[in-house]
Amino acid sequence: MKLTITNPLTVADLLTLSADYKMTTGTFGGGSPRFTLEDASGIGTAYIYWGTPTGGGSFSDPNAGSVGLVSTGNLVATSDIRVYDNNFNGDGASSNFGLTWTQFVANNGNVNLGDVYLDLDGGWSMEGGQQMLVNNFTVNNQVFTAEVAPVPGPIVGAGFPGLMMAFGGLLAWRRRRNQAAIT
Amino acid sequence: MVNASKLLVAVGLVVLPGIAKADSFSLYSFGDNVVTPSGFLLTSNTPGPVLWWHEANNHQSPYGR
Repeated sequence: MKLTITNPLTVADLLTLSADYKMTTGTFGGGSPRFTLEDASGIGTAYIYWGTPTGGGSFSDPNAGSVGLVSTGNLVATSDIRVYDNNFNGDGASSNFGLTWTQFVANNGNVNLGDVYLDLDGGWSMEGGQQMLVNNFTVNNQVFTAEVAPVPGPIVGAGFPGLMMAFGGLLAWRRRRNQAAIT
Repeated sequence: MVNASKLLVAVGLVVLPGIAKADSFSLYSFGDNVVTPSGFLLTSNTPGPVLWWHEANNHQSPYGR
């Protein structure tokens, strides 16, 4: 499927990036969960890792053990080093070196974004893997939620009650018909 | 066994049926995601490189992480 971008959004235009989540299996690790920004030309990406920086490019879940859903907070409004440029817009940058969001915008603010991913792919790094519930995914003022396909409801007159009504109607019709024949 | 789960917001793209949508962005869900009443349930439980589908470029890429 070939899709065409019609509404360019630059890196500098990205003001809010967050999600409400709950880790249901495993924890943060193996480079995920994260947001991945892809430039509009599809050349490179930049990773925005979730969680509390623990050094060396690792992050921990600040809400580990939480019963309910929690927010990542706005990850493009933090001063933490959590952005890892992976040849974004072909700048040759290595994802081995972390940046703050402000630094990343200074380097790439005018670059158009193509896609924003929410990634969970670090299950390889821990026993039992990772599983995460994401209630919503927010990009600027757009909040995306899962849409559950509606379950078809019962149709009035369908099923066993409907069959009984139809049978009763048939009996009543035959009784009237028989009475009409006698008279 | 599931390599990876992804949610994708593509800027200004055509929306796919059955997926939440908004004016300027479109949300795609791929990988082995399950939609529940509480949201998307994403799973990653397979060791090894990730194989992912990039809708915008219409190609599939091996992507080791």
